[in-house]
Amino acid sequence: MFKSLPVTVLALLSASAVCSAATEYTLLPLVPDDAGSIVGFDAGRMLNSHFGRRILDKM
Amino acid sequence: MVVAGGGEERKSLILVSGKFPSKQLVSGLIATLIPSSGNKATYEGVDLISGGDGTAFAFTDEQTLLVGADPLIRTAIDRRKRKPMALQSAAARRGAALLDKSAKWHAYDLCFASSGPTGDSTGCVGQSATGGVLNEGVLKAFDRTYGGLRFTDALEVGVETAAHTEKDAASMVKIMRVLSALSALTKGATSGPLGFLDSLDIRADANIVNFSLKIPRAAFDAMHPAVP
Repeated sequence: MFKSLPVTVLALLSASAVCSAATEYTLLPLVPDDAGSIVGFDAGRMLNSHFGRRILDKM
Repeated sequence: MVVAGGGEERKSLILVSGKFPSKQLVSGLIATLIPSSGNKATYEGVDLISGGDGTAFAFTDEQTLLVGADPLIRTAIDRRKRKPMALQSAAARRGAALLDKSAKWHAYDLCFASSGPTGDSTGCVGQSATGGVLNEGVLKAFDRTYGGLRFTDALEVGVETAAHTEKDAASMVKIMRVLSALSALTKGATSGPLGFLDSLDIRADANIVNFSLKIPRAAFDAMHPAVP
């Protein structure tokens, strides 16, 4: 589903982002009405994790 | 970061909130990834860079980056201008519930919610992880899947999914428990996808199935080799 989008690179670019549930709330109102799925994650924490990096590489 | 996907046209929108090192640097790097990008337009006062494949990106402010299908970005920009900004869409409310501090998924490093048939999205993970035993036919009996991943010394997975019927839920539990038993019997001899299923904890309450498992780093790496 996400293969056509550069998720991995975006995650890298936002490595310095300070993401939290609070910031996710600022993004959620922008989600389209017909969205069938939502994935939320802290890119910084993902990148600092062995598993997170592998998952992002596969996206 | 929030990734929203699905809908009738199977398009995705990525929303990133954070402190970016350099807006120009980020824009330049993204532009190299979007074919034929560089078509700049202004929509509702926001600069929108579009690619030839219908993908675009835009900074709605210094801390918010949107990447995805051009129409979805424009819709998001429209939503941003509404005052007060509220959780207007069902998807957003579902996401908010998912991320709510009181929700058990909040403790996870990555959480997700899907309203579609499991076989369409998260199901591909399940099929891969079970070597195809959980095939599309089985997974299509489920929808409204919620879950999370936690990154510790192992990859901890927690999933809650709703089956269409109690019978479907019970079937899923039986299949997964058989796989778990097989995994336990072959402990040490199985290095493939089944090698970690002995840690599986699964139960059904009516049509709701909850399961969790831990995937050790070695088992995870065997399934997902590093990209050169």
